[in-house]
Amino acid sequence: MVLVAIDGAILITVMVLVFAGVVGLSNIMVENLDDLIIQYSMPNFEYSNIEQGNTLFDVYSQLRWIAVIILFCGVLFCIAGGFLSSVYRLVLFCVLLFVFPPIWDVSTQAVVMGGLWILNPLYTFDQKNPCPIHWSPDDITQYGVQSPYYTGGNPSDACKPSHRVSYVLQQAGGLTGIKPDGTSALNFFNNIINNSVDAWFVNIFGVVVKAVMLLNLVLMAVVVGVILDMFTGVVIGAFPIWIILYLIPRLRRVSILFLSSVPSILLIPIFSSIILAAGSSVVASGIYGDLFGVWLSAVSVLFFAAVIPVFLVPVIGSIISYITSAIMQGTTIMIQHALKVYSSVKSANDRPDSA
Amino acid sequence: MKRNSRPALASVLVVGGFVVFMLAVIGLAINLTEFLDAIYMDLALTLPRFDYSLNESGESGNATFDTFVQMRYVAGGVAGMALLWAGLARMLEGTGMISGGTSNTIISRCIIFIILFMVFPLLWDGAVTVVEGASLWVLNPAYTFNPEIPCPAEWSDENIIQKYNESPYSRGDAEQISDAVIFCEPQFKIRYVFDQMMGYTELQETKNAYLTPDDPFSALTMDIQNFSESVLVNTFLGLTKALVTINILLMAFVIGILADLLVGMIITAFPLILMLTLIPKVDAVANRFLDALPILFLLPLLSAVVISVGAGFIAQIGTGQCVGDACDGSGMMTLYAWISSLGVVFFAVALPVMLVPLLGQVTQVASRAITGAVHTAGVATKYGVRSMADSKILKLPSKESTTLSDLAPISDDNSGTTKSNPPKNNTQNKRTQGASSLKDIVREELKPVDMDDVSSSYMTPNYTPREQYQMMQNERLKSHNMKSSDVSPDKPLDIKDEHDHEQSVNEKKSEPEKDDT
Repeated sequence: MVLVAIDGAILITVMVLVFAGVVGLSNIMVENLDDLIIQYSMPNFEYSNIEQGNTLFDVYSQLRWIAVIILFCGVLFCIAGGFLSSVYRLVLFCVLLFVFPPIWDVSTQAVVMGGLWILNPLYTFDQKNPCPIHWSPDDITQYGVQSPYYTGGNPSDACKPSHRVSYVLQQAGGLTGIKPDGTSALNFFNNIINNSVDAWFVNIFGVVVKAVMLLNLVLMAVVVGVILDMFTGVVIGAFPIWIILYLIPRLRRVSILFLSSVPSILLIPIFSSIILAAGSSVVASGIYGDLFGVWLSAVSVLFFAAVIPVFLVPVIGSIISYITSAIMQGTTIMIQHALKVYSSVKSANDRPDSA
Repeated sequence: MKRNSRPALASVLVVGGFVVFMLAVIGLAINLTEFLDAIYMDLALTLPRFDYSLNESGESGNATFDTFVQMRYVAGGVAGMALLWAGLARMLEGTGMISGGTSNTIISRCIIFIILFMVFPLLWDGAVTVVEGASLWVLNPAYTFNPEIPCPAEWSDENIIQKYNESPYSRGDAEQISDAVIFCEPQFKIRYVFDQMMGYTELQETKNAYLTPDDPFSALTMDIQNFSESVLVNTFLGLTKALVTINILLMAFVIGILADLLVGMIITAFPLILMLTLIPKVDAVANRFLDALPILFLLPLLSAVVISVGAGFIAQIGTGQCVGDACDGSGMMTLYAWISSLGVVFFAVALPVMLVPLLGQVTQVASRAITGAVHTAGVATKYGVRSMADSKILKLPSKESTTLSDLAPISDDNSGTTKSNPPKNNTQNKRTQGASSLKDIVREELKPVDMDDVSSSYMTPNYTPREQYQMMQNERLKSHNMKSSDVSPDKPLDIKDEHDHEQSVNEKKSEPEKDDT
């Protein structure tokens, strides 16, 4: 029995190599996760004074002319029909259609900058010199190294908005073991014999759980981010359409569905920044133990920050829940197939063809 | 080969491989239980707070408070804009475009809100202290709120020991005061519930317990000895329990942290949320958060009630008072107690999902990710064990070589003369002249004849399914007429094992180097 168990241990070690691949993949993806979770920008029109912008603005202006023509007809109808009180509202909507792009651009910029400021009040909004101008390099080094969220690297990163997020990501992506004597997943190979065997198995299973959860998390963050951007684009790009629908009694409910999410969309950067700021301090405080607890709390913080749009804009919730379940299944099947490919490659290598 | 012709040895080997898998799963479950036990008080019975203090140098607090101050600045700016709008509205009220009283409402609410921003950290900290204290009292009325001397001063040591021994939540009789003093601590019932969760493991009585945290490996050996009795029942049960425990505890932890983070977010953004209620169309968003706050605030108290009631319920089961149909046998009773304790632990932490609809969607997504990950890990580990059983170590014996005693002569004359062997092992033995240990022989001899295994062994581009089937037929034919042919058998199947073995040895050697780099 002991021999069998040891051989099994060897084979599981080989399996861990596969999972080291998965872990490595999830680590690479996690490293870029801060760009996904921190909102550095939102869909906007890039409007300039000469009525020009990006492709979203092109769509908007196209729809705007339709809306303006309809509104103009409505105004004529109202005047002819004697509904003069309604003319006031129609003209107001007309004006709104022309001032909406700059208003939207300014407000998204304000909330995005506000979110970055919450994440790091020191940030000067200058990528090259993130720290306050009056700080000397020594000040920066001292502050950066002493920060509880310091993860190595350039000390001036301590003034960047991603400072705390990188700390949480490092905790989530780190290969800490579950049991203390396992130390790190990849150190297994060094001290297979020294470790107590149960810790070893526990850590292997844990590594698989962790890798898969991280993969799920990253994919989910991508999906939520993309869907939110698409939804925002639909809401603001087709804004003239929603205005027109708002005027038609039976269709008003549809337009309210989209228009009512505008304030929520604008609040997302602020709230996700608050989650990340509060969550990073929870992770750094270490109240949830040291090894597994830190990892799980870091992952929870990232989960919450990633799904905060679902929280605030319930309309996209059902779409996201469909797509996430598809993704989870995809990950599961992907890993099963990776294992199958691995074993078939292995058996193909074992062929005597070369001999 | 027919399933019923598998000898007991093979089953033991397969179960052994299965137990390796179980060790991983059960070990993780034990660790998670211990881990959650250690932090459970923090998770279920505390709320985030500001650690606010006011002295000559000004206000100070923890990181939450720092962010709160930032949000207060933002809200101050919003309040300034609101006051400007109020002034404008007052002018417009004269012209009749805006209904009268609008500006007064805005101004009065702004002033109230600004005062509230200033005192909110103090209020919140005080209220949280009261709620947490109340929840500790619900958990244990005997607690004196002094961690050093938890029991009331007028109780003597004998008194405490007697009360402890009489309590339904005690774990055995205590002799010393140091064992019995937990009677007055708030963790008393929580510890009891966790004990129930970790303790009862077996549906049938056996001589060992799976959930022995100190030495699972000796437990494993004993399991094999007790195989014929009850290992299958308990293996199945232990695995189910471990997976259920992992799923539920991971979810409990994530939900607990999510609820804590939600409370932290709401109290941090409190100034901003209050100001948003002034804006007509936006107040719906703000109100959703404000509505959730009172319930979240009461969470520790509700969790304490759940744990107290739940511990009483489990103790009722433990002392033999029947609940429903659960009295049929002691095995079912212990299983029932285990499920109940798991339910109590989970329910107490997951209350916010039930009470706060906001959390529902987030938890749904998170729980799907967690259970998916555990499922994948289970499948993956199982796959590892199965491939081990398929291709390397745990070969099932063929009909002709069912026991180790049959194999003994092979190990004696494995150098070349293999007349007594099944023909399919001729080339094998020539190739493995160095491999003389009994284990290697067993490994080569115990060949899988399952449909699955044979087809996967032949899985190369060189063989069509038809050819694979042919080879499989040949194989079967040969194993029936063991002495009738000296035809060289199919190479791939046999060589595979040898190469597998060499490769795994090589990999074992090369792994430390990989890690070093």
